[in-house]
Amino acid sequence: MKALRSTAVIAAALLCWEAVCRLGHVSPAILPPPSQVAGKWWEYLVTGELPRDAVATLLRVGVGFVIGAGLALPLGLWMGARDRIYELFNPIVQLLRPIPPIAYIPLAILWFGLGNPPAFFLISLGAFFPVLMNTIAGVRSVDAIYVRAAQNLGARSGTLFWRVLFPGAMPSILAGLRVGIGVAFIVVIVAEMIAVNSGLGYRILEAREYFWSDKILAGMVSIGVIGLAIDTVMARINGRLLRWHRGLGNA
Amino acid sequence: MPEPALQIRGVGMRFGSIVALDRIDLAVTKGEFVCLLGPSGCGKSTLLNAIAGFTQPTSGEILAFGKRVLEPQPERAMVFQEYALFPWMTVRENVAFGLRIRGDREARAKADALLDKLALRGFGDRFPKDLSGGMRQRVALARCLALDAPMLLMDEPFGALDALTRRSMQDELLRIWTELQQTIVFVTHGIEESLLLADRVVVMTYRPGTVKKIVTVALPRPRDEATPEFSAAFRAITQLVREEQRRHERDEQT
Repeated sequence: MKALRSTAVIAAALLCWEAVCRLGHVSPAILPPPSQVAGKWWEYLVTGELPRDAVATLLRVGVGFVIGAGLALPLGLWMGARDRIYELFNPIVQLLRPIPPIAYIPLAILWFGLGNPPAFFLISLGAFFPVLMNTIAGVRSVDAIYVRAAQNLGARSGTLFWRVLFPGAMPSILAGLRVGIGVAFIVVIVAEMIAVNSGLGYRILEAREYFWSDKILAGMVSIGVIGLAIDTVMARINGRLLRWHRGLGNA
Repeated sequence: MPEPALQIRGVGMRFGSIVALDRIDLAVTKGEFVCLLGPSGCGKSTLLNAIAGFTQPTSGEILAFGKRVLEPQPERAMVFQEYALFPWMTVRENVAFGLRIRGDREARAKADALLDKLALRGFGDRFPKDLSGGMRQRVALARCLALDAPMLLMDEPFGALDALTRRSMQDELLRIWTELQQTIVFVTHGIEESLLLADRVVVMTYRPGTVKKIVTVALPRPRDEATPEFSAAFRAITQLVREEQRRHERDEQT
């Protein structure tokens, strides 16, 4: 019933859009009707262009995310577990964190030229901070009573870290990874508009050059669907890993 | 003279200007069941944490089995009021945790045997969130028993349970204690609970926490609250505790 109602809302929105276009209020060059966008999307798909673009984009997200999260996770664990390391690094983290990854674009091009390297740099930067901040917060918020209980049962630093602090921080770490991959996906689109000539971001910018508004919209829809798919997969993984967690909504 | 398991000598604890504990002297013999009783704020949990080795007293010393307490040790196993079960581990993993640290190859089998003993058979693969309060506290108890600790430290372990569950947990604990003869230091604010369980009840004063009086409970076991002897002991201890409670309330008003 719920699903039916929300589907009805989507269908109504599409119908309104279609009607506005059909009644001739807007030029199809500015806003093509959804039926035309769907047609274009199908064409984009069957020619193999969309799959190629999607793969290029996903590869970039994957590489950038692995680099960014791969650096942020150990640093976050270290900073979370050791107060001295936290005090040492926290000021510089706080200084760099508010700079949006997009602001690094000029520097990225200056350093890495065009092509994949600046894109990887920007995407990993986008994933880095959410993962770092959540990992630090996760480790630091593990209830002291678990640490006491573990020490009382004979656990010393290694066991304490891997069997208490790390799993205790896991819900927060996974939330950070989920946000991180979301940001990486935003950044990849921007990076593709600027530094490379493949991928979904590049394709919609290219379509603008030719005034193909239907293709722009088809590309945007694809970006949305892939973004949703990534987030759904992450949510599934979280749910699987956090079976023990209380009050877990799969949202 | 029976051998002392625990010696507390002139122990004081300050947090800034607050004196939480002041010159506590107490000796507990091996196999003895002692309750620390007092209103909240009397420092009984503070004292227990110091015995566990989580904190160091600011003056005096604590000796367990003749050795000075400097850090937490499995020989002084702690049962927390909040259970403190690791929520990310299954019940079995929780119970086997201490054994695995020791490198015990039979950790799993021993954990399962303890789960059976504490009426938790079939719950080994569950996570703590799926268990009731009473079951969680039995898991916490099993986790400590797994290590054959000669001393159990219990911080209001049944405080969060409903009355009926608490009663059956008390019986369970007495059965285990009768069988294994550990030394038990049990913190509670329940007068009846202390009289049901303890050989001696240490009544503590409110801030600074000191020993007000040590009452030996001479009632035979199993104890029955319905006897006049029990009632007499209950009245006597209630009198002592209420004096401290009144001081506590006066303190809060000012």
